[in-house]
Amino acid sequence: MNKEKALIVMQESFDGMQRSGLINSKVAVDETTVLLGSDLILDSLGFVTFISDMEERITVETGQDYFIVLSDIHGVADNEATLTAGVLALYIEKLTEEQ
Amino acid sequence: MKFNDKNKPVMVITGTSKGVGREVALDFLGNGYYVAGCSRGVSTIQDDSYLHSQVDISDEKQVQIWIRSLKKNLGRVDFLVCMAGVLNSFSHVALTSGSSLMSFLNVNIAGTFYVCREVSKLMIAERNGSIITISSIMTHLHEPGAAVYSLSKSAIVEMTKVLAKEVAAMNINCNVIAPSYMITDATKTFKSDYAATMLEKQTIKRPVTAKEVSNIISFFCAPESKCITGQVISMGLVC
Repeated sequence: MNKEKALIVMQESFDGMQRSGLINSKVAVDETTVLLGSDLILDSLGFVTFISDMEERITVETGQDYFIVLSDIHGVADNEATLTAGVLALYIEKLTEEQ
Repeated sequence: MKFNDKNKPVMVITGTSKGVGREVALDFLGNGYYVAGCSRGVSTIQDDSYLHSQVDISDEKQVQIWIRSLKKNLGRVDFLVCMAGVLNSFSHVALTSGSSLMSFLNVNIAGTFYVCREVSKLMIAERNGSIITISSIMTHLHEPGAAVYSLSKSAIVEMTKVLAKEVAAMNINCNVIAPSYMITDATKTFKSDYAATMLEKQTIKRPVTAKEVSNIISFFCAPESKCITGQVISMGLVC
């Protein structure tokens, strides 16, 4: 799954969370969207739900089981104080390339 | 395998091939639950409402794949009971090997952690659930020789209390059962005076039964117990 597709899947995940009432307003996902850090869109449990939902969507898209490991993401983007959608998309691209 | 009756509660139990885990699984199957169990070995339960998976809970990847498969097959998990654990040796700290230490930590702490982590994700998505972990009254007795076992069971209490706070807003309660001496395959292998020694230290001087453990699980799982979270019920001992 390339970075662009990962961002699309993230958008679908946010849209799903809006439909289920987890977030109040629509989020337009781009590479700069902050997922973890200051100016959060999601609270901590919302973030857990988002990551779980992303794992499931990636698995459905690729037909393989994938598990997102946050501590590995920091290795993808050293010195990142926040996790942005762009950084997560890059991680997903590498994760799905490796297997 | 699909559990098709949406009205039947779904309970995941670890360590169901023998001992108390098996007895508890049979008890809840008898009470009309769907039960998804696991152990390192093959299933010892034959029941249309039972789904067994061979899983080493100390293996993170195996747990992740198992719980994901449960989500695909069962759709949801209402209750989690973490029965699996090891009680394979007692020795003084000075004589405890690193491998013995790690065997306790890997199964009792890491294994329980992995299962709770993965199942809690499903429960968070469903905004519902009850998680029950198993500790031991040994954490109160400070018995010589039980350092590693007791520390692993103390860790379970702490993890469960933290998890209880983390997921409370999602209608998930997390509680702990701390049994006293039970007659299990593991305790049967101990020295002949072990049972008498343990019973002497307990307030209620008889072994706890699996049925009594099931009773407390039922209490924690009841809708009327949703306000009870982060609690430990000790069995057979005034703490």
